Amino acid sequence: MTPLQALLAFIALCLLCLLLPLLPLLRTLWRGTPRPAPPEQQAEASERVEEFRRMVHEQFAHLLHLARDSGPIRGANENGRPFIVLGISNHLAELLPPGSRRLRSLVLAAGHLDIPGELICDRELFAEGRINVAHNALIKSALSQRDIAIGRRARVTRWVRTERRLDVAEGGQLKGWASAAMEIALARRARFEQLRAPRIVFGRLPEDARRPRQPDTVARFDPPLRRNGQPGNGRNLTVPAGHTVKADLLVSGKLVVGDGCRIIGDLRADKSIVIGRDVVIEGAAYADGPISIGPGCLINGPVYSRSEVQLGAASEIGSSTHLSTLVADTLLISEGCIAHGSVWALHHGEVLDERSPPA
Amino acid sequence: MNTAEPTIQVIATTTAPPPRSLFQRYRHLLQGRIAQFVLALVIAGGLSFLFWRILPLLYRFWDHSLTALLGALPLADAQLVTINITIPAWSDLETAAIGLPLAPPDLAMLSIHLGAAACLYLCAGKLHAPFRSPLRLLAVFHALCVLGSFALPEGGLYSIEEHTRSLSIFSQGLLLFLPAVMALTHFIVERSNERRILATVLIAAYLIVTLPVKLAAHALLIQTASSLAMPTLFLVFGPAFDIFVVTALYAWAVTWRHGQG
Repeated sequence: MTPLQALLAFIALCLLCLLLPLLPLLRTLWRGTPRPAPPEQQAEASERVEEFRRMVHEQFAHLLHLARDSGPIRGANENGRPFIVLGISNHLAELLPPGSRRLRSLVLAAGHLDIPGELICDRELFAEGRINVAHNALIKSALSQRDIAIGRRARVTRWVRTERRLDVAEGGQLKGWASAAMEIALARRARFEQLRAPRIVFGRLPEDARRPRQPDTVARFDPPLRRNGQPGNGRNLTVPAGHTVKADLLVSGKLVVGDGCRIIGDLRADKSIVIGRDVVIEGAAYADGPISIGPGCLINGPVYSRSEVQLGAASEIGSSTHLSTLVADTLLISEGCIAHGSVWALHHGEVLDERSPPA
Repeated sequence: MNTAEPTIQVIATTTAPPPRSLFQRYRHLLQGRIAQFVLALVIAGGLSFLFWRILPLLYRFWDHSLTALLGALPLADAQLVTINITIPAWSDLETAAIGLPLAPPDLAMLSIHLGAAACLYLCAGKLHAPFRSPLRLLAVFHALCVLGSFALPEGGLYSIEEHTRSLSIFSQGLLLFLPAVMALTHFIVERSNERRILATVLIAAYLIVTLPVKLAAHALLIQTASSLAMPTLFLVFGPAFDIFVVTALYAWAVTWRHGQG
């Protein structure tokens, strides 16, 4: 080997040594399209619930019938995944080994199902009766034909569906999708992401929940029109307190609605919307920035914010006859609020604890 | 609107004992994981002991590799020297270094280095923010070191033997402390003992194999660019580069368990 060849070989060796640690980086850079989401995330949550319900009826209906008479049944399906089928009078805690912290079995119950505290359930839960999830437990998914109660600081990580009522105690967390055929009730400091029910109650309702009566006659407020015939009502707009507006309010800046106003129309602001106390809005509210809704407000239409929505105490979104939608990146809801329809917190949703307001 | 009755009721019944105190909870956690913790400590200690025990073998490997590399490369008058490590606990050990007589840098070499530093400073201005300032700092550092080295009567801050010996000692120290570093970082994330050992051994193997190549490359570059390049070389391709390499390999190893999903 000539000196030149040795030098070239040595340079190649040095380059190899330099590039070797960076090979994983090249793998990352050359990765083309992002990985497809797992099938569980691709499907809609409601479809997953229906699929699970179908699976229970097709594969476990006979076992549930047997368990009613013969007691608990343990087994595994054709894929080797274990399951536990409980009868009406069986308790899951009796089947778990002492000190058990994790349950990797699918659990189905012909009657009520009690999940012990601090237990981690890796698989779905199904009960023909009520499901009680005790404190600090963590469950993946739950489906019940009756009520579901989530205990203090217990967590649901995927979805939960009940044919009647869902109760979430103080500090409970609902990550993912939660749906109830009748009502969802969340205590203070409960966290949520996607809720769907005809009636969703946040925290304790106030003692006197009757909405203050609107004055019979209020002054009418005509919003100014933008010059040059352009649509909208200018940059910033403030509706004085106690006025009625029969128009859509469209501003490019901040929109402020005073106390006791009644808006018959939609609100749209490019920046933020601030709504005072006891305001009635017969329309939608849409803002790119935060929306602050004062206490005692009633909004019939959907509320949408790309940022944050703060809902004051005893406010109501939608009605029992007209379901609505509340969507925001962050939802901070005071106690005593009621929503009808869907509530989606894309990033963070929480029922505020009014006893200890943030400093 | 609803009636005045409160709607929220905590209905979840508890079949488990009441919540335990924080101390009890941590004690329970430790009881479940004490075996894993001890096993991780044993792995880290065992690997450190293994690397310490095979250090004489590694010296022989590095000596032979460096002898072969110096014989093949156009390094005039370069010779392998063994120098005692000045660290008290390791004073009996002799690490490999490269002895290379260098002529003092002349004015032409000084101009070339200063010109290169100026070019680097100006070219860095064309780059985006994350790269601009470090390259400008490097150019300033190189210019200052070149001027300082040239002003010294010996023609350099230190000799090439000391330069290569420092590189060698740092790589050996990194090799011996690697299991402890991995135990504090990688072992927390990775639960498979086989992967823990494999990742540590792979990074150690990289350090072992590349050390003679690195020393020879430094000697070749210093012979080409004179002793004025030694401080900048030490800064860019010395210990900082070793830490960068270990970090890159650690980041790769830490994604093994997630890459399977």
